Amino acid sequence: MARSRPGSSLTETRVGLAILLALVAIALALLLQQFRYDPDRYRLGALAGSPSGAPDSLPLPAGTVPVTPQEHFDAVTLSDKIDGRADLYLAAGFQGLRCRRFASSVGDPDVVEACAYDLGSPGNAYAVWSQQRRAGAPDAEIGENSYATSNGLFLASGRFYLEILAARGGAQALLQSRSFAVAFLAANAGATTTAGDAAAEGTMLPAQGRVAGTETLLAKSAFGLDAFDGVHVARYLLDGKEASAFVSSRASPAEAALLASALREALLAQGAQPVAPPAGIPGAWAVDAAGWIEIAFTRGAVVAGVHEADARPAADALAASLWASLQKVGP
Amino acid sequence: MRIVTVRRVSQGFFLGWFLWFCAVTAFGEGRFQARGWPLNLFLQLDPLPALATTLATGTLYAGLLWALATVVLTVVLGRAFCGWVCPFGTLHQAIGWMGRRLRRGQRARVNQPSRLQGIKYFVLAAILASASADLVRGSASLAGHLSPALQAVAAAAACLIAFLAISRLVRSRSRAAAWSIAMVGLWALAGRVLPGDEVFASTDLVGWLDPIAFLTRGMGTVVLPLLDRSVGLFFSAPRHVQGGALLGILLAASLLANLAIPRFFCRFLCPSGALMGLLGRNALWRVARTTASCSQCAACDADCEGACQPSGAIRTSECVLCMNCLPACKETVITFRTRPSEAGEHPLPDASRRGVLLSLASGFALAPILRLGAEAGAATPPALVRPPGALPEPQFLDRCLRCGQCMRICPTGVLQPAGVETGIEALWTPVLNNRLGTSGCQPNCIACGSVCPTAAIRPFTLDEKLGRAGHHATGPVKIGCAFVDRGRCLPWAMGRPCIVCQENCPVSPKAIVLEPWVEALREGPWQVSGVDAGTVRLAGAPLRPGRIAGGDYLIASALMPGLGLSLRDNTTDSVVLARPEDAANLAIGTRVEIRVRLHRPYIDPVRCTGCGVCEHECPVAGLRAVRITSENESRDPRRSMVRE
Amino acid sequence: MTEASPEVSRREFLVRAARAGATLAVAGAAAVALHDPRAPSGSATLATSSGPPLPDWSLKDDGPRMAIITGRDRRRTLERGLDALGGIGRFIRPGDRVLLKPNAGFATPPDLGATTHPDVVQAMVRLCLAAGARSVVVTDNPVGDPDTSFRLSGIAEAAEQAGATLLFPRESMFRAVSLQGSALIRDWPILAGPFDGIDRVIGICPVKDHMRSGATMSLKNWYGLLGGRRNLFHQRISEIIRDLSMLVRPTLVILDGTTVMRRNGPTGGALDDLEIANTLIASLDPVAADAFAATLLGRQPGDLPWLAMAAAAGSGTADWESLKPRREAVD
Repeated sequence: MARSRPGSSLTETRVGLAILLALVAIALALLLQQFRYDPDRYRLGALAGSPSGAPDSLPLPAGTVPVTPQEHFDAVTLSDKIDGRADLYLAAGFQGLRCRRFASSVGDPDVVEACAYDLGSPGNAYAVWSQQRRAGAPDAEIGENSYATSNGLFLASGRFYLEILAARGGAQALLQSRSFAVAFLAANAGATTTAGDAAAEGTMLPAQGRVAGTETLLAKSAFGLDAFDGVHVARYLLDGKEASAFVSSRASPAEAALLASALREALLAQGAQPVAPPAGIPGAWAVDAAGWIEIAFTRGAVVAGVHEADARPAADALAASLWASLQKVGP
Repeated sequence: MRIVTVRRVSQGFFLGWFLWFCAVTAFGEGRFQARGWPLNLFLQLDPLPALATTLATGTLYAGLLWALATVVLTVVLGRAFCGWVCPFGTLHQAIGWMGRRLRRGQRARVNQPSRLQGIKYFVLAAILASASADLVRGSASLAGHLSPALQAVAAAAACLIAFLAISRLVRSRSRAAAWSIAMVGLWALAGRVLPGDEVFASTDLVGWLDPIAFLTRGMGTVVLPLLDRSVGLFFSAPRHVQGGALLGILLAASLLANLAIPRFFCRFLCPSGALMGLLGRNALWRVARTTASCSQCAACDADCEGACQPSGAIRTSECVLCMNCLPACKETVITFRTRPSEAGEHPLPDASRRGVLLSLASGFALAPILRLGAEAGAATPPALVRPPGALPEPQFLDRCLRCGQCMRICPTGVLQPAGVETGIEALWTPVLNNRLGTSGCQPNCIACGSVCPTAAIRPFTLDEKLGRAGHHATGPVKIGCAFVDRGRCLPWAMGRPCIVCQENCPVSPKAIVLEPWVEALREGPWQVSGVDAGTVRLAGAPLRPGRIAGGDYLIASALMPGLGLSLRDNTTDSVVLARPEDAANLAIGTRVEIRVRLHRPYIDPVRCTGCGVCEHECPVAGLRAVRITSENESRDPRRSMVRE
Repeated sequence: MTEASPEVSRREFLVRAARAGATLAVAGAAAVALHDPRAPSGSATLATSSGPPLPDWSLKDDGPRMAIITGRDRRRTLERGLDALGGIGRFIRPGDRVLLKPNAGFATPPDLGATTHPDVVQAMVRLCLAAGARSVVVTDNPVGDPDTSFRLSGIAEAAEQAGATLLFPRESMFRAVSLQGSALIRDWPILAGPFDGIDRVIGICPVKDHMRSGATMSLKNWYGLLGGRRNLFHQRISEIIRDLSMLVRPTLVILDGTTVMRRNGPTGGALDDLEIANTLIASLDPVAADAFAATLLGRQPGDLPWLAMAAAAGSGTADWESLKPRREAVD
């Protein structure tokens, strides 16, 4: 509504328009302002660059402090660390060894030494682990291949073989050993996913009569035969008689047959006497080596047999159950 | 176009922007997030926070320079900010309009000037006095550093200057001389008696009543958290506010008071309006009556927002330039011009000199009274965990506006307004409450320092916060330290496995270390009464079925080497071995105990940054078993516990 | 209608415009002058003065540096000790302002030997005033409540009777200082106020066992100058004693070994903890004095690592015998 006033509405309108124009300018300035900003201010930044262990450093369990710096050994220097047993590892494809000593950060003076052997493949690691296994040691329940002693933990996981030994074997140290193993497995998850494969072949060995914890993988030169590698062995107790069974997957049936006869030749060359082959197993042979019965046969690309059986009936029974076990596994 | 319309457009415009900024004060760079918006624009335009922090700190921080624009506006035009820009004023005006009386006479009566409008000047005086205590002490004790001869010269010079100033006000020369000598003497005395400790210090309390800080805080801690419950736009998770009830009640009260008296807050309480009333004393243009007399119809008073009585001798310091009186006047004798009103003016506020002096004195006394408990010194409340980047407490209190911008933008909502339990002076300043919010202080976030308008939380970089890339020497910023309450911690006190604090610790390497521990269940021991295929029957206290499932429990006899045999499950009177063959180790009649594997947490005070993630995650829901207190905070090296 | 004339209103407007302009000029100038585009620094580091926080009061003349006096009467052993070093006049010149720092650490009676014996404080004050000292200030920042500690230890009464001024610590007397070469005294409040304008500083202390540092004697006595939450430094006690030896270079130290606290230090609490050694040491070299006094506690200087550390910091020599101390007896 129009209202006349001295000084009046024309001025008022002009002033009003000027103010509105100023508001528009302010709005434009604000709208432009929103595009100019430091993007780091209101977003979560990267945490990278915070200190973390070198990629190849062994984990330190929570609640412990390192006692000595981490040590490294290669094939040349391995014998500095483990004089007597170095050949076992070297034969099994040893790549490297890392060791670390740690102890509780609050008091307990029990020092734990953890050694991680890199053996290149799960098979080699399993072989090293199984060959050194102590009979009767309980499963440590860390991964698939582990056992514990009064002061130590021994694991095969992926291409690694772990030995974790507490100097005094106190309860806290054993717990820290477990923590280390769990942390190591977690840190090397990629390398340890094939943990079970190495032992899988060993499942062809029949369960009946098998002495728990005696499954062993002989990585190389089994039974003194250079070409005989990757052989799974387990000890059996059948009616009070001892015997071993072995099984090994080869590249082809021909190679399997060749190995089986090479083994027979080698035994005969050492003075063994041929005896009647066990019944019901095609192509099997048997020899008597100074009172021990040795039997071998093939099934497809698998060569299997009985080793150092105390008595013939036990040898035959074991051979039969091994043959039956192989039938179940494959064609 | 009528000027009142333009004013309404302007108010809507600025209120809109203010609300928009409140809405987008959110962590992130999305369309409805902080991006580059000038989130603090209104706080920076408000001249009072700028003046108070300048008095308290001696510096005018960065964006607070924008206040100069408002000062220019105010000096030239008067309180245009109040009537045209201030979003709080706009809200008050809108609510007052809704509650307005129907009869003009009633409206005019409500809008008559009241002596109580002087209160805001007292509030202003007290705020500025409390902020300038350091300045006063510093200048009063200056003379103390001079030699006696120089002191005498300085005193004489001061007396002379004071005399020259006072003689213009006081007629009698002898009285002026007496006054000037008395004042200088008082000043010298003040320099002698003002205590040199931390108690007599400046504190910046402007945020309690400053209109922009009040409304910003109200939006961030009351309105948006409530709105978010239904629309879910403003926060990533429902936001809870410590002491939100008080904040909400005060905000509602300040708004509802307008139903009784329009612009209640502006007229009686607003210290910023008071400051601008003083600044606008010499405004070049003002609302004025063109005639010495008029019909006194009071139509102008009926719609007056500032209660400045345009119908009579106008109180220019109260006028908010709403311009309602211009169109209201039927006789068209009210205008906006450079010449003073023909009806006379009251250029100075109606606040008694005695009242102002009393307010100034109260302001000086305020900080010493508030600090009697030494909450900013020897008795810092342990719960006063400040955000990273917060300045040392006295300097922090010189700057914090309690505007809540840091709390609003905090992505986890762990920053909360302090209640009175951490000292009245700290009321509504930011503290961490690790029970509220979605997590503790995020290690890779620097938002609070980036948003703070006064650098009470100074801007810091991520490198600085994490102590990397050139900040190794100072290390990561620590806001406190975690402490394990061993009487409440599950593994420490109750034999229950728990590693939650350690696994959530975001510091690398972790600041919480776990010590493996094994202990026997207190219900034991038991006696083996039967072994059957991995199930061991026990004689003794009954077990709750399933109690020891989960792999943390072992059974052991005294003679057994190692920790014991792992258990898988249990019934009331039997346990199941994880490996049945272990049964061979347990003969009937063996005394056994059931052991539990635990990890006990320890804090490394050198690594712990006090982020509070552990406290947030701790399963002891009430008073947490691991809690952050402000010890070891890096902003004050004297509060460190360990001397490295 | 009493409308103002155009000239009057124009002048009024001009005056007003000038005032407004002045207001803007002041506000703008202040804002620009005080504008600080950068944020303040983070932590409360205040004092980084380049020079030493306290002056060096040590005497560098060639006179004797150490005297060991045996005898039961503290006043007489003190007088003899000072005479052996060349007389009080070597240390106090007429008009000197002297500060005595006793150990008033605890609110225990003098007989228990936890604090400096009042007799030796009184004797020292009298000697200083007799030598023409203008004033003698006695101050300490006790562990316990200052008033109670000074009163109960008898030091307050003894000092006041002899004419000294007692200064109890007040907050305004503490200044935050940083000591160059010290990792611990960084931006730390010390009781510096009483030292303003002081010409001579004399430390007077008992010889006591200390749980944490082995012994507390003339060097540890300066711990009483520290303010703030100083108990933090008990974490690194040897270093703080070394740093204190760098902070305060006194004119003279008096070690009152008339009775020594052999056990349960530094508070003791039983007469059984004390033994009579009847020895008083006056020395310009606090390290040497402490090294010798350690022998009164049955300890060797090598038992106290901070002695060697203080010596390495240039505060004196731990080889007290190299100073060829004057040994005299008072019967």
